Amino acid sequence: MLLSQNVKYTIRSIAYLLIGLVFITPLLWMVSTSFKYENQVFERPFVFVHWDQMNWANYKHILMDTAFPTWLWNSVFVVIISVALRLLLSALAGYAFGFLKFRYSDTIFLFFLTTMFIPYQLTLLPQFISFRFINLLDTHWALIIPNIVDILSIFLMRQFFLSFPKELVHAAYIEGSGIFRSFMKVALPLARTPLLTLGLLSFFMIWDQYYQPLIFLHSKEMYTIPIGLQSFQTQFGKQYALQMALACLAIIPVLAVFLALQKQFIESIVSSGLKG
Amino acid sequence: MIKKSVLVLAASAMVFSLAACGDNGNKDGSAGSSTPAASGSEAVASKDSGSDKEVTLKFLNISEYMDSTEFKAFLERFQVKYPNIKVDPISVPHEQYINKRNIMLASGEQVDLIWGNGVEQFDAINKGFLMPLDDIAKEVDVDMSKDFGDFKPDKDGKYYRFPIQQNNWMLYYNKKVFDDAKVPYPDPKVPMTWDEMAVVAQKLTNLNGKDKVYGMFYNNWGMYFYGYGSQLNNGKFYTDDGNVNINAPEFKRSLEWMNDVMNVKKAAMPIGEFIQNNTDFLSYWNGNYGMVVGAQWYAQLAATQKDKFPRDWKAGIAPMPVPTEMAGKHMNWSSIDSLAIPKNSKNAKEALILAKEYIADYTLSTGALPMYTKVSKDKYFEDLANALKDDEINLEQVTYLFGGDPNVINVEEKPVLGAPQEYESTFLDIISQYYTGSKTVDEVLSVVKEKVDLAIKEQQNN
Repeated sequence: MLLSQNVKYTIRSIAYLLIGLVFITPLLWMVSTSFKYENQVFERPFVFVHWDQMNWANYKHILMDTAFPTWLWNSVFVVIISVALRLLLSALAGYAFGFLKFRYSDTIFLFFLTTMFIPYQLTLLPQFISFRFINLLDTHWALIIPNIVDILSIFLMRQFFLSFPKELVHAAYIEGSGIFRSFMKVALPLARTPLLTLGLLSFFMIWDQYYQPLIFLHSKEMYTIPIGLQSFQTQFGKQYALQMALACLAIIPVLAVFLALQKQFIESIVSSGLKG
Repeated sequence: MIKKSVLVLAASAMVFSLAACGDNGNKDGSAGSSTPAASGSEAVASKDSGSDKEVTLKFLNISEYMDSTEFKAFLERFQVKYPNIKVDPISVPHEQYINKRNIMLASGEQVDLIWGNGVEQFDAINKGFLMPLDDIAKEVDVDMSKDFGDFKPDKDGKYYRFPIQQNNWMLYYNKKVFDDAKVPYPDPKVPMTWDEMAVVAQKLTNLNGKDKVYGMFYNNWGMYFYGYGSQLNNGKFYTDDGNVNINAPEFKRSLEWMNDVMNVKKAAMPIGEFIQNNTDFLSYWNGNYGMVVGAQWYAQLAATQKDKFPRDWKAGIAPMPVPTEMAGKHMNWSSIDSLAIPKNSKNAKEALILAKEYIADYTLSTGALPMYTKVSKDKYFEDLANALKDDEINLEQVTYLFGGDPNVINVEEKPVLGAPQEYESTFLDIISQYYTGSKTVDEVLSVVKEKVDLAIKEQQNN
């Protein structure tokens, strides 16, 4: 009986290990490639690391000859401001649509939802013209503003506030709080879990954005990491080794955020509406 | 109810106040004020009296050129020479260059000068983005019909492109692979025929060792499949009435030749393996291939850069192969990179001054030979020969193959006239089906013709 359990446990562990390997392989390839010369990237048979030919020059080039620190700072700036404002606006809108309710609120919300079905590429040209009109092209606000209003985030917060206990807010009203004060003092602190989930998902999503900075930014010093990554390609092909070296460096802040908030993130996913 | 409305309004106000805060945008303050020029001549007329005024040119180009230290040095020299012309470089990764270009030009954004290869510039011409250069060129003392060799007008007898450089194709070979197979090196002056190349490639191939060695390397680009046909019919990718001509017998023969090398003689990597392995065009330099047809960019990107592409073998160069009918002739697939002035430009004359300086003072530093005939070529050849001396490649060979042979026969490298983007992408999307045996060559070519003819018709209707 014990033997049978051990065998099952071993088989399950191997299966988990193999599945884990599938997910970690791209990461390993990224690290391995970052230490190679360009003509070794797709060599057959695959060599994980050429210990006698480690190419540190890729990292040296990224750190010394590119604007990597600027790109990194730009990404961090855009992400932090965008996420903070998105959370605030999503919470406000979710509270209004889900808890307060007002005349035609469901109809207006439905109208908001329909905008999710418009392909993003279709909105690029009108957005470009709008930003040119208000003089925001080639500024980080051209990236931040479209990110502040996210219908999916509003939807998630609305779902949370739909089941929010009315008694808590009513008690605040009786104590003399107005709508805004009761939102800030009662509803918002209790929405910490969905906001954390939303914040992390938004962080990863905005960090990876490519088209917006590509189209709305013109100056190299305004670039974010994803555009910086693409600058290592020529008209004939990509310089994978350099790209991967930059990707290895760029992943550090993302990993740091995830590792720091890993416990809360998993807990919040389990306890929030994202559990499906 | 009023308080609820205040809450909603507050959220909206926050968004708009942020928009107002972000007013540190366009450096030239030109947003929303550009007016597309109606034609080249009108643009010149409006600049006649303005050659000394201070202008800022927006120059859209790909990152690999714009971000180089050579380009920055060029801009500094340009600024000293023309202090009244400021340049605002917009650098875009090549993969997304067309998307950004299209959005900027379609939105009416002021762009004064754009870079493009043959396909990209003809795409812009067909979309009506560019202005003709004939009149402006005279203003900056350039004769479009003489100063660029035999460069011909682009459309309706007018020049829209200001040529930078032309590709110079040749055969690169790995001397070690030839030595190992005891096969003599290709003649440095007399080209092999494609059929001879196939036989040599088969002799060089060794698939039994630890590392497979293929006699021939190719890239998954159109000209590697239809380029032999282009040499046969003088680059006739379109019929006389402007439709697709890819089903012509010359192109069919070209595709069949590649099939013979790849699938019958097994002297080139099968296309399935090529795609599955994510084989890159620079993979040739890992040393496991005998020969490859490549242009001057192999010298710029790999052959001369041993710090990035270390190798323990020597490379050789020879003229690119030709069809049996053209035996002994020096041929080249011609593809021209160029600069062009969009109709949205406000400073057409100054943009062409920048273009002229770009080809005269910058292009050589990219490792390419400008088509502009007033640029001295000697130093370019000497520097290149010096960089290749470890490979025992001499000045005479370099001069002959890298653009110094006046008798070279140029044919179109790829289709550029009608729906060029669709032509190339449709062809490449389906061609692997022929080489993997799931479709016949006739089926593949007829699908390409049908789809691209439709794209050309749609383009004409628009």
